[in-house]
This record gives sequence, structure tokens and C-alpha cells, in this order.
Amino acid sequence: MKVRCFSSFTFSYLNRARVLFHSLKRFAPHWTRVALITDKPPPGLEFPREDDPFDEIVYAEDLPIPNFASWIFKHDVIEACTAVKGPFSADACSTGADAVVYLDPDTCLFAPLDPVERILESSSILLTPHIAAPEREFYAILDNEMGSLRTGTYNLGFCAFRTDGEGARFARWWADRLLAFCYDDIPAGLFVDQRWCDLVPAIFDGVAILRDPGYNVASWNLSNRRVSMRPDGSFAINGVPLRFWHFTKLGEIADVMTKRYAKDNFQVYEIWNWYRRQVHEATDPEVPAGYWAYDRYRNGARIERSHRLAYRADPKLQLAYPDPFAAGASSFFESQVLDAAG
Amino acid sequence: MTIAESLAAAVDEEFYRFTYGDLSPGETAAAHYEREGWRDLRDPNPWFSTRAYVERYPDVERAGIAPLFHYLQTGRGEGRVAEPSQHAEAFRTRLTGGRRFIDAAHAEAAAAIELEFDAEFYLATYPDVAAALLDPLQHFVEQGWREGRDPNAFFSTKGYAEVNPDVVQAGMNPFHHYLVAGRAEGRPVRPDVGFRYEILAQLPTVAQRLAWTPPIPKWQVGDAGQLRRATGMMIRSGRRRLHVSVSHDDYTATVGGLQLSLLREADTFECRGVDHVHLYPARPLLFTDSDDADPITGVLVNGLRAGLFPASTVAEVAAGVADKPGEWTQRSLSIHSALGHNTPALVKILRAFRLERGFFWVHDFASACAGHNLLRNDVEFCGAPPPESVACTICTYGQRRRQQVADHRRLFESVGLTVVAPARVTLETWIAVNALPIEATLVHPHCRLVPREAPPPDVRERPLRIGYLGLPNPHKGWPIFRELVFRFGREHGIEFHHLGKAPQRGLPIVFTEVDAVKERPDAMAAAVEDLELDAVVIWSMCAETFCLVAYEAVAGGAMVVAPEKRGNLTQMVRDTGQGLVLDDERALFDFFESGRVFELARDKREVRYFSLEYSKMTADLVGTQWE
Repeated sequence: MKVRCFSSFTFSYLNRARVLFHSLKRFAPHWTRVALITDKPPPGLEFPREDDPFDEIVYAEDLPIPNFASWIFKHDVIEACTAVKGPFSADACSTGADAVVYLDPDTCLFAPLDPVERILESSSILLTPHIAAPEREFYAILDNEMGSLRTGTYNLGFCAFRTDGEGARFARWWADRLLAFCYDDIPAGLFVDQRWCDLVPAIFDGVAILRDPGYNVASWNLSNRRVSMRPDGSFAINGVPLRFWHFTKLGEIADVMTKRYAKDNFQVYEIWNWYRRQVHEATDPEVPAGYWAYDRYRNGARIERSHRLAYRADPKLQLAYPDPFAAGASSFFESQVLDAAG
Repeated sequence: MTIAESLAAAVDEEFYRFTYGDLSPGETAAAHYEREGWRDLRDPNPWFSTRAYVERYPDVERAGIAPLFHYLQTGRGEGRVAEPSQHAEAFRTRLTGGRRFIDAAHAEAAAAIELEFDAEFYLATYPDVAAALLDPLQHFVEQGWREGRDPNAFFSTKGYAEVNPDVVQAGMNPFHHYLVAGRAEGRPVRPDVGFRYEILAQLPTVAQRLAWTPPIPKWQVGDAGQLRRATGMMIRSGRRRLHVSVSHDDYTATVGGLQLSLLREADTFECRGVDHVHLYPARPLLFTDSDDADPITGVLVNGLRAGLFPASTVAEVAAGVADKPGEWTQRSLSIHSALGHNTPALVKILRAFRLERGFFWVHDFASACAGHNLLRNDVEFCGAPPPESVACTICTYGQRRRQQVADHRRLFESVGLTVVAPARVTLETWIAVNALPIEATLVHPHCRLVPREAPPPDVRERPLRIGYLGLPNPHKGWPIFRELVFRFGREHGIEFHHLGKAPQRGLPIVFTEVDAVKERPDAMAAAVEDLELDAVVIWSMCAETFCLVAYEAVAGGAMVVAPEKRGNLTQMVRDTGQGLVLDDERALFDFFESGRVFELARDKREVRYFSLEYSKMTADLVGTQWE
């Protein structure tokens, strides 16, 4: 099966993406590895490096997104990086690949993903749920089950689909929705791309839900997953091979949640510690902390979230300011600053 | 208001009694002050100094009335000044052992935790506090807890804060909270993450481990001339036999199980009139030295230190010595460890001595991995899976492993080696994890248990005695023993003992200093017997190649409690029947919790005693060929 595998990220997540793509190179060497970057390289960064494991690099601004500047201005960094997954996926259906696999940049493979290809021989769309077993403890229900109710049943750190039939139909639908409604707006029933996929098993045929505990292991499902090492040096989750881990929220929050649910399953900490070291080694000092090229007006001023929300909400503003990043006379920036000044 | 009424209201009973301890129980402080106290210039309360008042206003003394009464009646109205008592400070800090707290909340916290605060532990654990001559309780209450320091060996300040975030949000000292509220509420005291979490959090990299041993200063390194002179003096003329041994350190300088074994080997060769040369790395590394092609090598000749020399110099001098006509017609070799050696350089030395064959002792599994006890990330026995496995990928030793195996391969391909393991199970494991060319294999135990008669123990009513023998290392099971002490050490009729070189502070453990030396190798077994330890917990994390302490425990009449699949430790417990094997840590805690551990008491079983008959190591193996 010809697989086009991609991850969507900014330069701030380049370090994590490098770790993921090295693992793809090791465990899925026959897949085409594409870096989808919604960003522009920071000054002084040598990119791509010679040893970078990307087969292709696609910048979001080169995707078929009408009025790109206006469109991306409506999104914060997470919304933007998530939304571009849609148009990329739809586009990938006409690249000659048989299937498309998406992985978040903070995931990492620990074994081949061959079973994904096998499932896609008989299914069109493949999703992994956040949790695949009921919780028992009060806090686990709050964190994990109610968390899934808020943010979506399926974790879109992974998804896979065929590029024909229902798979292609899904990709087109997903692209359309994400171009128009990929927002972090939980009160409105939206959480970037995830809540949309709650609808997928209802709308499309050939949807496979992968409940194998070896996939998409993360702090939100550790309460029901136990890691062990097998004599051959591979890791197992509840006795089945560990395929990939989702190292969400690298940092203190991840540590607290991981400890809460991993408890004395020390192999979890071994895996996390290794990942932390890998990310550290893959970090370029040239990437400033929190860097994102679309985070500032052209005059260097940071774009307030309220500015994005105002622009997003008002089609008249979008028409009046097709390039909202501009600064200076008669710019959107000026209008916002003047508004604020009262 | 009468004088008595006025004074009754203003004299501080508690202050007065605290400051002047001679009051009879039947008399009030006010009455005493009125009758005679003021004449002795006693102070009636913290805010009034009798002496200061009468010195400032001599007319008061002349009037012959109690100065405090004077002040209250007229002095105050006249604008006269009352000064605080010089005893006020002592009274204020009486509850806090003389400590002065600016913040009343600190004083309250100190008073609440003082009983369970372990000052000795605190000073031993935080030498900066001791060095600054700070009061440990005051330091903990005012700033130590904010810095995550622990008040005793049982309580983790950070751990409690982590699992009780509301306490942190309230800005409260976690230990104070635990004592006044958390304990009664049954709150968790730390994250339930196990001791391996801490090991992993502090796990050093190979590069850091290498940096622990600094390079050898040049002035310590000798030249060929010095080595020739030294060997010339130390080698006994006329001896026909030579034994060369190789290990990871100078066995005459450090004391441990392996070093004592090497001493026995050396002594036996000496008794048999064999010249003995020992080679060790000047930098005692935990890995083979593949970075330095000519590392500094230490040389002992017949037990005497010849000095430190570049390996190439040792090879050069060895070639000259070995070529002497008529010398050394028989040569033997034992390699106890190649750690710290550069194996190509070592091979050159062995060739120079014309050594082509020898014995390779299995004291660890360093020939299979840079983690010499096959503990992945120092937390789990891994059994040396394929180097390209995920386990090796995420292991701190993984990257160095290929190099270390290659270094051993060079050694095994250059010298014909017979592998000697101290136990059958160890040999089996070694063969399973290595793919090196070997000449033959042998099993030769470091010691044997020989039954002996011993007087029946003096059986009296006493707590069950559970011991831990040796250095408190994680891979030897110290954290598990400590956890047992945490859970069962303060009640439950169990007395925990630690036999070793230095005590661990802050825990309810009876410490006995035991230092095995050449003259008294069975000191540990004797101590186990003297203390009448009922059982010894040896909860090793790795596959033990031999585990001498298990034999020492059994020799002294104790039962050994050990985990499954720990190499010869598990095997010897099964073979001797002197102990029991438990599946895992949960089973161990159940064993204590359920009270079954009391079945190991000496008065509940037949106590058997043994002598330890030590092997002469390689001397046992080559001697027979010569005689």
C-alpha cells in the first residue's frame, strides 16, 4: 500500500516532529513522510538539516486555501495547524497514494504500523478513541470520560483513510468543515477538528474504530493501559504491542497527569524520560521560544486573540481588510488600536 | 481597686511561673509579687521591668510600694515609662525551644510539628543548613518546606504537596497540614509512583558517569624505567610460575566481596610460590575504555603497588620481563573484569606476557552490555534483548552497548578464554546473553555452606528481627527494605536491622557496623548470628551472579526472603531451603501485612547454622594442572 503520512506543525514543534519522523523512518520506512508546516522559518535557522527525516516539506500557504492571509488570521496557532490538516488531506487524495495517515507531531512510533495498512484494506476511515475502556475512579471520569465528551470522542492525533470512495468523501467533507469551522469554541460545540469527527461513524460507511490499546497511548487513557517489556525488548500495552505514544503537553501538566494515572508503572516514566531527551537533542536554539510567524502584525506587534475573534466574526472586516497582517495607515491593526483607544 | 485586685489583673501568672520557677503551688503570682517579688526586682509580666522602673524613678522605691502598682495607679498618668522585662523574649519563645519567629504562624507551625520533626535527619540530609549553623526546625518552618525539604525520613514535602494541591494553594506548610488535618482525614501522603520513579528522575547519562572519574594527573604516571626497577625488586627470582589477573580496580585498596575473593586468589598463589601480577585501570570506570587507546594502568606485583603506567609502557616492560631466559615456564591468567580497560591495549599486555589462554570470571554481565547488571535504565532486569530493540533504544546504556560488546569481542577473539561462573544459573544466563567465542565453561562457587553444630539460641520474648545486609543500594533492594520499614517499622512487633558500614539516618532501624576484612571474612555471618536475625530481606533488582550476602545470612541462621528470577539468589534460597521466594513486591508486602512473616522467627522453626568455606578462585582451577 502506498501511504502518504504527514504531520502538521510550526517551527516551535520542529523538535517533536523530528522525533516522530525519525520513528517513522525506522518503523514505517516505506511510507512517504511529509512535514506540513504552518509557519515561516525563523531567521538564522538552517532548515531542513541534512539529517532531517522529511521526504517532503509543504508550507500551509502553498495549500489550495483561498485568501490565505485572511483565512489564517482567523485562527490561533492550534486552530491553524489543525485546520490545514483538512485541505492537505483532500489534496493528498489526488497524489497517487492509496492511503493517508496523519500523526500529531508529539506522537512517536515504537513498532511498525502495518496493521493500519491491513485495516485500510477493508475499511475506508480509521479513528482512535481517547479512551477505549470505562473509567472507574471519580477523578478519572472527570478527566478522561468527561474530557472526551467536551473535546471529542476520537483523538485526532491520529487518523487514517483511503484516498478513494468513502475515504476520499470523508477527506473532502473534513476539509470543507475545517476551512470554515476549525475553532476552539467548546461552548459552541467545537473543539478544533475533533468534535467534527464525532459525526464520522454516522455519516460515512467503512469507518473502523481502533480500540487496540497499543495505539495512541496517552495520559488520558493510561488509567486502563499497563506498559510492560517483553523478552525481545519490545514494549507491550496490556499484552499487545505498543505501536505509538502520544506525548501530549510535554511539561509539568503532562508529568502530573502521567503520574496520576501511571502510578507505579515505571516503564511509562522510562518512555517519557527518553522522549524528553530526544526532544531536547532535536531542539534548535535558533527557534525562539513560542515562535510562530503568523503570531504578529507586520510591524512586529503581537496579534491579540480579541483581534482574531473580531475579524473572524465579521465578514465585513474580512472584506475591508483582505490582508489583516498589514500595519500602518488604514490597516486592520490600526482600526483595532484606534478602537481600543476609544 | 485594692493593690491586690490591681495586681491580680496585671501580673501574668504564666509568665511569672515560667520565669521564676520557685512559686509554691498554693500561692498566686500576684500575691507573691506583692509580698516579696518586687523587692527582689522580679518582673510581674513581659511588658514591665521592675528594675528599670525603680532605677529610673528612685522615689518609687523609697515609697515602699510595688512598682507595678505604682505605675498602674499614678505613674502611667504622670507619663512615666515602663520598659519590657528582660525575660520577655524567653517567655515568648518558650513554646518553640528558644527559637524566635517573626511570624506567629511560623511559631504555631513549629509548635505543632516539633515532636515529629527529626533535627538530626534534617542536618544530615541538608548539610548547607548545618554549615550555616541554622536551627533546623526554624529553618524548615521558615523556608525549608518551601524549598521542598523533608522534615524526617518518612514525610515527603514535595510528594504531599503534589497529591494535595489545595494545601499548596492555601500556602500552608504541607507537614504542618498533614499533622493537624491531613493525617486524620486519611489523605494520601505522596504520589503512588514507586521508588523506581525517583531512580529514573535522577538517572545519569553515560557521559555523566564517565565524568565522575577524572583523568589521572600526569605526575602520578610512571615511565618504563620506573616500572622495570619496581618489577625487578618485587618479582621473586627463581619462581617458575606466573599468574596475571585483571580486574576493574586495585583489590588491595578497596574492600568488597570481589576484592576479598581476589585477595584469597592472590594469597593462595603467593603460598604456592607463584609470581602474581595484577592489572587494573587507574580510572575505575563502569564501562570498557574505548575512548583512550592507551589508558593509565595500575600494576601490582606480588601484592605490592608498582605504580601507574600507560598501558603501552606496561606491555613494553612485560615483554622484556617475559623474555628473560629460564624464568616462568608456566603462566596462567584470570580476567575478573575488563571494565576500565581498553581491550586492544590490554590484549597487547597479555601478549607481551605470552598469555594466550585464561579464565574469564562472570561477576557481572558487562560483556553483554554497558549496563553491567542488565538493569534497563537501572530499574528492571532486561535480559539483554537485541541491541536494536526499543528497550535498548530508550535505555541510558543502549548507545554504549555495541561498543562495550565489541570491546569484549576483541578480548575473547584474542585470548582463548574459559568462562567461569560462580553458579550454574549464572552460566546459563551468561551464555544466553553473550555470543562470544569461548573455549570452555566451568561452574565454581565462591563459597560453600558447611553445616555446623551451634548451641540452641537463647529464646526469649522479643520482636521479630528482619535484617538488611551491606550497602544501601537500590539494585540490592534498599528502597524495598526502606518501604517495609515505613510500613511496619513503628509498630507490628518487628525490629528492623541494618548491618553495614554506615547507618542511614532518620529511620527506626537498628544499625550494627560490620566491615568484612581479609582477616575476618565471615564477620557478616557472625553478626547475623550474634544479633539473632530471624530473616534477611535481599530484594535485588538484578540477576545475582552469586550473592554472597545470602550465604552469609544463611550461615548465621537467618532465613532469606528473595524475589523470583534473581539469578543465583533465588536459586540458592531454593537449593538450601533456608528462606523463601516471593513472586513480586506485592507478595512481599502481603507477606508482612498478613503476619506470615512471623513464621520465620527462630523459635518457630529449626535453626540451622553453617560455616562458609571460601573458594580460592582461579587458584583452585590452575593449581591442579601444576601439581
